[in-house]
Amino acid sequence: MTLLYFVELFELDRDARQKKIATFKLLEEEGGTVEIEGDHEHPVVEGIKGEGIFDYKYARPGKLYPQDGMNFLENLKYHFGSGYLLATDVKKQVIDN
Amino acid sequence: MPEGHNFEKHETSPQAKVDFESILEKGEIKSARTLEGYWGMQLVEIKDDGDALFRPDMYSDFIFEAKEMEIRRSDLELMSYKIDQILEFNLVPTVTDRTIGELKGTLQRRIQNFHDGYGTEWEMEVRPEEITRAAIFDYLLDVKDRHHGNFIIDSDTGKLWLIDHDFYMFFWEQARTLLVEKALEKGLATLGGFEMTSLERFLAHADSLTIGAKPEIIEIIKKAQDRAEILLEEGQIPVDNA
Repeated sequence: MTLLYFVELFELDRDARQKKIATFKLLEEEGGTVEIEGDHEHPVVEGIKGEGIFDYKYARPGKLYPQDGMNFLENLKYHFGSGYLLATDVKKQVIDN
Repeated sequence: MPEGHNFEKHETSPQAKVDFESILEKGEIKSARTLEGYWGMQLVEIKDDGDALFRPDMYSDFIFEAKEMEIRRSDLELMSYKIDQILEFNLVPTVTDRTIGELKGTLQRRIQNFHDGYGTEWEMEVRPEEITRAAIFDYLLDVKDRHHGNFIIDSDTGKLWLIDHDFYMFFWEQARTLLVEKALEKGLATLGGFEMTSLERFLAHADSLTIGAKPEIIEIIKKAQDRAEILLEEGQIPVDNA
């Protein structure tokens, strides 16, 4: 049994419908890089992969990237909180091997 | 929704000026739908007047409580809007405080025709004066966390909108607004007559914004007064603030 941690990122379209841009996934047993499921060429996904995001939760210096694993995952909701872009909290799912 | 009451339609129709504040403050709420995402935001439909984004304070209270601050998210949103109105920059979408159900928070006009700041060429789509004024606004308020997701662009009109004025925007010391950097890079950091007049008007009104305000708001406004003086004296955004 493996735990999958994930965050979903949504954007609001012109008609006020939320569209999922990407799901950021981290497998417990991998203990490493966050995998991104979705359109990798979407400007938002490209943007955060390139620029990173701050560690809002623990205020550690520097930027976080997908390779920072859970730290990156936990901070997505702080980075994307405008309403036009919204990330969920970290969700957990049990996967049967 | 009747087309005549669509927020965006009014945006390009100055003769049909709409009092967004009254709509947001008093408009009859037809429905509210919680959006996917952490912060408990709701898309609120206002009877005959389009829709708006409701942001309950309670979901972000823990951030301010951890810092022993008196302010809440809504105080920062309302302050940002009031200062933008005094400056007459029209960069911050109209926002009011509102209680929906049991939840206190802010109700903000939803910009419909937009895309976010991600993507490399956004500045080519925006009118130069919008970049100048947004950079002045961010410098004035010592805005920090203005990343590509915290402004949106109407690429049809070249209009820029500044959004998400939260704790991190004003108190996150690690970040620096990218709009000041962009204005300096593009040679758009010089004030014209309109911006000078705006800052003089801000200085004339600033003290009134501190009456009865919470300590953190007073601190931001006092600093903004100092920065307005610097801008008026130098005629541009200081280079060392990039």
